[in-house]
Amino acid sequence: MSENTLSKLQEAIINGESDATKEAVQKLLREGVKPIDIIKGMGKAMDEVGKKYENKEYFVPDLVMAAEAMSEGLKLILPQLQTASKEFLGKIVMGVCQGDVHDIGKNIVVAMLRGAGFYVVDLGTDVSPQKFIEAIKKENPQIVGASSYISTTIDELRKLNEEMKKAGVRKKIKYLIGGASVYPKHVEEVGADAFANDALEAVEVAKKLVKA
Amino acid sequence: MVKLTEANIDAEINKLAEKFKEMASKEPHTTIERFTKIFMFQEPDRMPVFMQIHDHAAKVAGITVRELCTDPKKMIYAQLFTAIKYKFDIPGAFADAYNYEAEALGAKMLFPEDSFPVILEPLIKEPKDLEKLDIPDFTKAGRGPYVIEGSKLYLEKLGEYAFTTLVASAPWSMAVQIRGFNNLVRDTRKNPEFAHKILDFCVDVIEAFVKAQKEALGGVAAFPALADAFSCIPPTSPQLVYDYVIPHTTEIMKRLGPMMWAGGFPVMEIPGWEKIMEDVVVKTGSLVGMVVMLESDWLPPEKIKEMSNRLKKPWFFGVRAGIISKGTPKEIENHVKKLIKVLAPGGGCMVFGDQVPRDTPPENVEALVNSIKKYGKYPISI
Repeated sequence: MSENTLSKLQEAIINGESDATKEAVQKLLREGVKPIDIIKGMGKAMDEVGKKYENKEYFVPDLVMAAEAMSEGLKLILPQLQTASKEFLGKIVMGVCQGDVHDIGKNIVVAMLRGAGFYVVDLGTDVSPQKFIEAIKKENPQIVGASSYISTTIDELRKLNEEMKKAGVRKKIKYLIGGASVYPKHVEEVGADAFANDALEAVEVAKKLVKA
Repeated sequence: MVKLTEANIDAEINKLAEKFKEMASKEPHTTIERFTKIFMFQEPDRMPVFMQIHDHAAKVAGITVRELCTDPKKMIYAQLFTAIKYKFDIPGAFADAYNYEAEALGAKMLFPEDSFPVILEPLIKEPKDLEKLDIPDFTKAGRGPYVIEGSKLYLEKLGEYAFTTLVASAPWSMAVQIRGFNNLVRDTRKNPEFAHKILDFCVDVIEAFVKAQKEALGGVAAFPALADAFSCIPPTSPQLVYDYVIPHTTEIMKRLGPMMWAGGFPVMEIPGWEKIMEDVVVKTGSLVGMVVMLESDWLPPEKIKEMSNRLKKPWFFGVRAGIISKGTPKEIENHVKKLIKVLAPGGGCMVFGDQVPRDTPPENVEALVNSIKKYGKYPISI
């Protein structure tokens, strides 16, 4: 692997530069670097971004731009990968619950999970239980992640759990919840398996869930 | 609880307004007198009790959040009902503060039944979209009439017993609403000139919105406030605060005079937080400084008291929404007591309820109000 190009890729992600990220990814692909190795390299960059946020050198705008750069780079790589490759840590279907269109936090979580080596199917915002269930049947993930930013949509997380049970898919997956209005107590209230307080914690919790 | 209809709502508002005035007239000072004294670094009879209580007010008053945000009469009814129930001093004069300008400009909105309205997509998707936007006539566009009618009704019903608010988004938060957060942040990095152009436009729109409200109130003094949660740190960064937030907020205050501005300050502990807090207030000329915390108790109230006294600038210290909604009444009381002990003596600072979430137990709101009244009685004797 071209260490120089990989360093440039990581620097581009850390600095939140989408164009430079895409250029570096294209160059690495041309150099014959395996897509999964590029993703692992991107993951290290996102780890660095996370550390900078924890150390208060970085703020939400920096996270958002790094996540966007990572996402742009991944768009070039993902078509070349077989989904659910054994080289991924696991597969996650993720979305913001029905009635909620806030996606800044979800996008950061998706980028951090991808950076950590998960294959993430991002369903976007205002996702109905039906859409989640269709994606679960199609993608066969180990984890379903759903978020709620506003307190009035927390009940949607419970409804999703009920609908997954009715559809017979609940036992196959681990159900992870999060978002600005969600607290640990909601795990029990909505029938989820786990809660994550932020993007960094979501990565750690997801790692534990796939091992469980 | 009364079922509100078109036929009875005026009478119900009148009844509540009379009750509120009766409640307020039993104490030595009026709300306005309390605020005036606090602002002049003097001691009133007690600290005024002020809360940001919107969706919780809707729940308490038995209306939906959608009704609160779209019907000025129901909004005033809910605010009065809640102020009387909990016995606090200042009913709110508006609901969601962040979407009015974008909606008046034509943004597509979603009005959920029981949460605040949201903008479905940014108005400025491409730089050329900015050129298509004109300053709206706020007496007609979007919910401009809702805001104006609400303020007029508030003034008509409460008169000298409370003060109404001229409300608008601050430039940065309005820019987030019309451009989208990611797009705006990207603009600041790739096309700073365009980012400033958006903010210049926001300043023009906000000026028009506040002037429309002023004119509707016929020159009666009202408390001008700029809502700016999107400009706090970490939603934004110190660099963005200095490069974008402060300059454009300063410009709007140059045009409209000093306003209460709730933005630009850190809500979690970061290196250099004291300097940032001081700069956002001093450089912009904001009427007051604000403190709202996300992390528990990282900010010593002594530092704020010292800053407030040194700068001769009033400061509002928010009791954390997390404690209000998730704490016990005893925890709330102890927290308020600790804050008042440091902040209250000599006036200049006040403790307020920063966002009372919808599902807050009523006993917690009661604990908050009662603690501010009990410990905030002058002379402070804690």
